[in-house]
Amino acid sequence: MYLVDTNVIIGILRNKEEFINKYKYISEKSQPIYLTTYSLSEIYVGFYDQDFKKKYPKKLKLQKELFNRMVKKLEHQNRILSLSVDDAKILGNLFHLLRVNGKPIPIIDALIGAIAISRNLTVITSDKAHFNVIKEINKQFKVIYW
Amino acid sequence: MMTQKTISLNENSYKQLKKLKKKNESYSDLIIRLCNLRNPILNDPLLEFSGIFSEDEELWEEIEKIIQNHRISHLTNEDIREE
Repeated sequence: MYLVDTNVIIGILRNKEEFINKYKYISEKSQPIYLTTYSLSEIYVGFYDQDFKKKYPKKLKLQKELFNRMVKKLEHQNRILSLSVDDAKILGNLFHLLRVNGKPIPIIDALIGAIAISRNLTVITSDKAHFNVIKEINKQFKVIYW
Repeated sequence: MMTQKTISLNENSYKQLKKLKKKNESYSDLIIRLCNLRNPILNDPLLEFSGIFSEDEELWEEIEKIIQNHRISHLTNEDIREE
């Protein structure tokens, strides 16, 4: 089973063919495909940016409405994950290993990584640099780069 | 006009379908709905809504940059241990 990162979600919503084709391929092989509340929050950042709201008022409003509808459907399918108590234990260990190894990574990457390790999911992302660090320090972590 | 086909169902299958059929839904529509449920691609909101951010390339290029910058500005590993 897979967990898609924010860049993959945006790629699909931007109608990028390479993302859509790959996503359809994995959808046929393995279900369900999850995402996290952290990715959703990152996308909502764009909707709340004042400059964009001024520049694209109608467009952003419509996109936000459609995005909300999509999120509701995904929520209904139980495909949106956030940190559970078990995930938090893995995250604590990950934070510790990152610190003792002197390898900082974005906190959101660590959150996504911990959820994936804890629930035996393979992360799909375009962010090779930071997720490779998690792979180096936790051999259970599985990741695919698109 | 769409061609009609006749299929036979046993009593049990018919009862099961009848239970699932919504008000004002035809049996043809019901069967398509059930097939869609079984097909992960057709029933995937991410694919259903694919393209909602495609209209303005520049806007989402910018938003992706903001997201990326936001991510790398909140790192783990700030050493919190007090000496």
